[in-house]
This record gives sequence, structure tokens and C-alpha cells, in this order.
Amino acid sequence: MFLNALRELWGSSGFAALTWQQVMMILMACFLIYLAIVKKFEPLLLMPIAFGMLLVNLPLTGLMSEPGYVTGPGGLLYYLYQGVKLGIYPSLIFLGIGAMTDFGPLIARPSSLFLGAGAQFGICVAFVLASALGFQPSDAASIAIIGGADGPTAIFIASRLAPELLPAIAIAAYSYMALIPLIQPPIMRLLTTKKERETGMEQLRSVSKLEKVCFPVIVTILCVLLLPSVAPLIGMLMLGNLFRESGVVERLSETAQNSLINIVTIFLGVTVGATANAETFLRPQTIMIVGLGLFAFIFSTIGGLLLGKVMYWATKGKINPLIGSAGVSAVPMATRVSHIEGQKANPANFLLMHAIGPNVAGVIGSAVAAGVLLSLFG
Amino acid sequence: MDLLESVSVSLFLLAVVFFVLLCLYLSIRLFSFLLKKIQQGKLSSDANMKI
Repeated sequence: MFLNALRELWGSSGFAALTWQQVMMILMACFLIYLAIVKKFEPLLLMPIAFGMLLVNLPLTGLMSEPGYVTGPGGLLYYLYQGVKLGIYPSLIFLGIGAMTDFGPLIARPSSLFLGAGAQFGICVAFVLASALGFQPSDAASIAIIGGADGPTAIFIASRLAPELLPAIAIAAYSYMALIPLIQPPIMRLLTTKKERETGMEQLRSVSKLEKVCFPVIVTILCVLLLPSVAPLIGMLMLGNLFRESGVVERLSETAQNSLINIVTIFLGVTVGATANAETFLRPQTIMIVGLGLFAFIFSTIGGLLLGKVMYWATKGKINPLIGSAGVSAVPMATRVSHIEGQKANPANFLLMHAIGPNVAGVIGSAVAAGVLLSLFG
Repeated sequence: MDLLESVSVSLFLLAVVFFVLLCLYLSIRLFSFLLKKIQQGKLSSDANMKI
């Protein structure tokens, strides 16, 4: 009787239902937790993603089960996941980003917008490559958006166009964003001459408060009229920025850039991780997505740098082409990389403020690219 | 989707991104220009008033 009870207990436990694929996923989740804590690779997102992955691969938990007659009311993460599925969390993250971002450097030098546009080149290259490898157009578009180096945008597009590829795309996007200090510098040195990297830049003009307040309104009207599908991303980004710049809603601005973005990051991370179950994640496609994501990132950096070089020639050496690589979104990591590379070439160089312009232009550029892809394949 | 089609979609995507950001560039420049003109006008009318 005692043995029977033990057998029943074992049979109803998760250990009996555990498959080798789930064990692999649990190990991978533990590795990602290690990377987040020890190596500090985008820990704010990687840790919840990894823990969501761990939770969903423990058998019999039913955390992602849909409500039904047999399954009951549905799992906790299933309900939280609706925010990803309906595109709510990425838009709320954009609200927080908008409240944290100073668009002043972009207004002071609006030509930075072209660097942000050039750095979307990787999306195009990755789309062509993914299509050539046999991915469906909507899947190829979701993979290509990794080149925008913008996590929330990648999640927004993947949840709409290719939900089954979402975990691989989100993990690839955030991993490469964390690896920017390793990926970008060799390309920057390869594509620019020492003379170009040494270029010092003039101080930016000061931007009035009126300009800063009007900027989010103008961008919203223009972008949404031109491309209505960008409204959730650009609209929220600019609303957050208006909170910040107006100076009359301090509490809302504080909430958007602290509490709200933190809460949404937890929900977003855990539920994106929870979509990475063994059946959908352990496929050759995942490796292809990770590889294509790297290509997208590299070509986005190349696109930004080439546009930077064009501007260097066009302005007769007044613009340091290194700021072009900051056109990939990845705020503020890409800005810092441009600044550090500039200082390595010329210690008197101070590119931080100059690289912020292309960096925030990249956020707008990738949101616009996302809107185009949604219009084409959504 | 064949190669030619995917290349055209990519080029179209890049063209739209450049077009939207070009429109933004022009509107920022226009807005800054108008603001400058208005401020200059204000300053000159202030100077006239002093005279």
C-alpha cells in the first residue's frame, strides 16, 4: 500500500511527465539567468524572460493554458500574455521610453534622422535573406525587424505577424542589444578611416522649450497621417515625451518612466519567456532566426555608418561618421559605443550628445519600418 | 516569395522609412525657421516700441 501511494505520488508529480526537451529548456533558462545575473546581459529583461521560460517548461503547471471545460479557468501567464498578444505591453514600454528620452539633440540637428533611417538597412537585408531561406513573408518580416535593434518593436511585430516565432525573436533581439559593445566596434573600425574617426564636432545649438513641446505633437500628426499603422508605437512614444517636456504633468511623467515601465517590463519579460516551450523553441528555425538576427544587426550598423560617411563628405568633415552606428535604436548603448570609439581615436572627442540624435532617430525609424511591415503583411 | 519580390519589398520599405523621416526633417527645419522668424519679429517690434 505504501509503495502504491509512492507510485501514485510519483505518477502525479512533474518528474514523471518531464521530457528531455523540457530538461534542455530548463537548462537553457538557467543559463540565461546566469547571463543576466553574472554577465549583466540586459538583466532587466533577460531575467524575467529566462524565468518565464523556466516556469513554462516545468510540466503540469498549466500556467499558459487557455480557459476551457477541461483546463479550468486558465493559467496566470495565459492572461498576462494577452498584453503581448494584443500589442499592449510594447506600446506601454514606448510610453516609458518617450518619457525618458530627450529629443533635444535630434531637434538641434535634424539631419540625424537620415542616420536613423540608414540604420534600418539591416531589416531589408535580413528580410531578403529570410525569404531566400524559405520563411513565409510575415515570418521573414518578424525576423528582419531584429535589425531595428528595438526590443519592444520586435515583440510588437512578432506578436502580430508570427506569434510562434516570438520567443526566438525576442531572445535574439535582446541578446544582440546586450552584445552591441562587442558587435559594433570592429565594424566601425573597418568602415571608417582614422581621420574620419578623429573628427571633432561642433557643439549643438540650444533647443527652446517650445520646440521640445511641439516636437512630439508634430511627429505624431505627421507619422500617423503618413502611416496609420505606426500609431500604437509612435503615438505612445510621443505621448510619453509630451508628458516629459510639457512640465505640467510631473506625476504622469514620473510614473511612465519608472513604475509603469517597470511593471510592464516584468509582465512582458515573463510572458515572452513563457511562450518558449520545448515544442516551439527547440527547432532548427530558432538557430536560423538567431543567425539572421546577427546579420540584421551587422547590416544595420553598416547602413548607419555608410550614411554617416556620406554626411561626413557632404559637410566637408564636420560630422563624425561614427555617430551613424548609433542609428540602430538600442538606447543608450549604441550612443555610448559611438562615444567610446570616438574617444579612442581622439581623446578630445566628445560624441555622446551628437550620437543621441541618431540613436533616438533610430527608435522612430524602426517604429516606422514596423508600421510599413504591418501594413504589408498584417 | 521569390528573390526579386523580396528585394523589391525591402527597397520599398527603405524608401518609405526615408520618405517619412525626410518629411519629419523638413517639418522640423520649417518649424525652427518659423520660430526664429517670429522671435526676430518680436525682438524688432520691441526695439521699435522703445524708439
